[in-house]
Amino acid sequence: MSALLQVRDLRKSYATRHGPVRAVDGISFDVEAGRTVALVGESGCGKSTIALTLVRLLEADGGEVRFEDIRLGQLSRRDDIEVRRKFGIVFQNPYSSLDPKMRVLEIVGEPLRTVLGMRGRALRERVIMHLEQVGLGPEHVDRYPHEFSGGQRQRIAIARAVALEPRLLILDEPTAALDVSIQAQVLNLLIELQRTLNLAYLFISHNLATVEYVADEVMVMYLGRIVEAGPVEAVFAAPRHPYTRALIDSIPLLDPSRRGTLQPLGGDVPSPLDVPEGCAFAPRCRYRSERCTRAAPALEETVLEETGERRRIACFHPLDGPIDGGVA
Amino acid sequence: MSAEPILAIGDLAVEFPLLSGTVEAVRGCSLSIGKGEVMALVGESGCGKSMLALACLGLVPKPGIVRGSVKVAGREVVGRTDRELADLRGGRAAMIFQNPASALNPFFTVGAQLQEVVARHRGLSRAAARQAVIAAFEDVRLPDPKIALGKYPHQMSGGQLQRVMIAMAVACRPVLLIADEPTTALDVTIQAQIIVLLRDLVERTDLSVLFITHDLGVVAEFCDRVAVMYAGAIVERGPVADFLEEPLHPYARMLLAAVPRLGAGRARLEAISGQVPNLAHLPRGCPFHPRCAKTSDVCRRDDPVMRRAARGRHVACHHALGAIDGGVTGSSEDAA
Amino acid sequence: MSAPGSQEFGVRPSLGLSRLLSWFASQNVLLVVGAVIFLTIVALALLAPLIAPYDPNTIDFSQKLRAPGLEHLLGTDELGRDIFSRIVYGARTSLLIGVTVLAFSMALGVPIGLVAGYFGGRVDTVLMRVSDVFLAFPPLLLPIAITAMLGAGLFNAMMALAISWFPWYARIIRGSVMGVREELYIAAAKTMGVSAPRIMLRHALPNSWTPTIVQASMDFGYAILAAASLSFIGIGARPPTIEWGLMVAQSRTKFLDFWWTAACPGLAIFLTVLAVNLVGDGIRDLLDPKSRAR
Repeated sequence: MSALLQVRDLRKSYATRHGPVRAVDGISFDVEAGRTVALVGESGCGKSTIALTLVRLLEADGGEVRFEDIRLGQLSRRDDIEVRRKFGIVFQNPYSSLDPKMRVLEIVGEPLRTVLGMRGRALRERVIMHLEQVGLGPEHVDRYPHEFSGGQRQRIAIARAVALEPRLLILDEPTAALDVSIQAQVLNLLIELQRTLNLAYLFISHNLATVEYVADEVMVMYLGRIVEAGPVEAVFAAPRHPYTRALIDSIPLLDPSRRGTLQPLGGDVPSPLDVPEGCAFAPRCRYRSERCTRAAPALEETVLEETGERRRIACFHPLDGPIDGGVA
Repeated sequence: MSAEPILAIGDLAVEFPLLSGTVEAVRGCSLSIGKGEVMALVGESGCGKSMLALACLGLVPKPGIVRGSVKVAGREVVGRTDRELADLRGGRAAMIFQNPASALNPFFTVGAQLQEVVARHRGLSRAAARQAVIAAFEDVRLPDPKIALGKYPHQMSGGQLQRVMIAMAVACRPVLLIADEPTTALDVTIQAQIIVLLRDLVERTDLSVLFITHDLGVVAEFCDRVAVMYAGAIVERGPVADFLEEPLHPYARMLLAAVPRLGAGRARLEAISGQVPNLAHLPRGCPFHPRCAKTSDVCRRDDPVMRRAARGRHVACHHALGAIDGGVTGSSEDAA
Repeated sequence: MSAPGSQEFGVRPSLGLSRLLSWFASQNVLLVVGAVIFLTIVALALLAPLIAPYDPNTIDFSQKLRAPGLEHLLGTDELGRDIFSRIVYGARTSLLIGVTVLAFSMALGVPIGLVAGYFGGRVDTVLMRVSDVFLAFPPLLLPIAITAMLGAGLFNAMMALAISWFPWYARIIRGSVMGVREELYIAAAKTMGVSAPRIMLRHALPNSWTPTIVQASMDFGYAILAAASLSFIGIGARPPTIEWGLMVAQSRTKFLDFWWTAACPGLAIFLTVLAVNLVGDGIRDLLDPKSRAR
């Protein structure tokens, strides 16, 4: 049985004054039903662009996207919308993703009204059902967004995203704009919903700890390409790509006995306008060699001997073995 | 504390009389920071930490009313006019913010902006100021300092701009640096660079830092002591190591349990139910009691006072003092 | 990545109306003055038949050109008509002018600006260039030209004003919409397959009409003044319409000896426009405090 979402060689460039910017440069991945795949990376890596391309807010320049084995983009507009309603999106900013002039009933009801043509009492009852799924209640239906806190607004956004009963949700940094104590609430809600509604998630984030908590698999991105992909705990405990290793080393640990072990990566996050020849990460990489500046390494799948897991790595000198002492 | 604290806050209160009610942004906070010490001020949105920071430099916007005492290097700040504070701001005490791009004027080069600050506070000539700026850029490890002089803010990355802002802050050799979430908007790898830079500055120049953040990892990595704020008041204060090992206040404990940690896998996070209270309509008694697992009658009635719980540790909670140090009650606030 | 919840400060309860009004009054004495005058004028207009002591159209040569006094509060004009009554009925005309001109201006300008701002690109360029043509004319020249073509009369004058004013509204709303279209809730609506017209009407318009309302509240006064000017030069309202500008025009030959025939309608115009402008300032302060003049 093939995966729910299959992305092959996705490409997206922007034309700018300074030349073309390859925001997404040949990305391929699968998301299986009911599983969570995470995309991590720093700013400019292209992860948000992927999300926008999948929901067709941006048009891809190349590559193929298949959902439930149907190729998107080849269908008539009507069928395309039919398919696309099978996946929903939750944006990062709960303060601007809800129309401030609309009531909750209208916000969550909009997809139901537009796509299913629901109205009146049927619409209201269905909206209440979805609000209850996210931990809100019928008393919230006639209120405006500004009457809610950030966490509650994000719940409303989630209710809106699941209103059409999709099979996949794209979550673009859903907790980044929320307070720490609320993040946990929303993450737990997402995990719960995944179970009860059998949802698959494409979870985009820059926060590795959050990703480890919710995801099954992770893909690490750098300048528009995937540099490493595999099961999340394994990738974070024993990263093979130097960039993944650097990301993990940059995270300050909550353990004061490990103070001073922070090893920052030198250099700046590069601009997508200025992608170096060869491996994009080479200028900042401790392990680079001559080979790395001549050609860009392809993303290749290998099976790790120790664990038997499948890992994809794009590097001429992958690291081996877990990090000293493991990550705690 | 033998030497005089660089920053001494005594019973600070900031309130805003607004149309819909009086908002008490800061309620009776006290803390002190010694020379070369880094103190973390931790809290979520709406807890008042930014307002407390602004009050330290007399920058509370109108119609805010400030009461209590804030002494920077021994000199009182509360009640002073802008003119009286002009020497302090940017001179003995400096502040850096979360968004460096908004702290810099987009129409002037970064070199020109720093030169202006340096010339004003250190009374240097233009040539001398220029040299001082280059030295400051080197201090913050900004690549190609001479070239950087002529760059405009929009030509620099977020990490570089934050370095420029730090350079601007330390160019006049302040004794106190107030940092309001300086790394929150930065990428992880850049955040690590900035933290290492700040620690280096502290070690070299004995700089005292009030570091405002919500990121407990950064607190563990960089800070010596921590003060946790909730609904405008400090609820716990003490050394970072002790705090992380065993937090005393229920809010602090729940906060630590709600943060995902790398390497902890899928161990369930305990979310705190409910949300932070409206500062204009605080509940009676302890402001945390509606969300606290240990609430009892006294919590609903009385707002707890900050009390010493152990050596160097203070907490404001009716229930926290039981097991620690036999519960040293009755001794009032000693700002240590 | 902004600080979590940075926009919240915890102050969100809805405001009681009386508290709002009293705070408002304390902010701005002039606003209160303006509001009182304006409401008086509205009252005069609505209750004209009850307030006016005489029929405004009754001609009585025996009463002609009487000075203000007990029988005729503001005197009479050269046809013996009571000026006070004519002013009261004229208030109806003036308010009607304000509302009509604005309504037509916005009906023309808002859709154009909305579409131009939302789509951008070529659509924007074409629509804006077309409306720029109307902007290029000096303020009263275009209405004069249009009424010269269509013929004089109050209705034509109002249409002429609306046609020459709509580009302002188009521009204002275009600017707001260009800001709003980048908001995430618009993107969210697009992902749901909501049609562009519905997004424009349901999402973009309600979130961008504030500056337009502010502008309209200030233009109300200008509309009245402009119409009065057109009537004065003879191409606006014509007899037997009762309009303050027309009254001033009709008193042209006599007012040097009989000052009240021009002064009273003139004063009425002045007070109305002043009141409307004061109220407009207040509305602007309420809806958009950032633009308050120092």
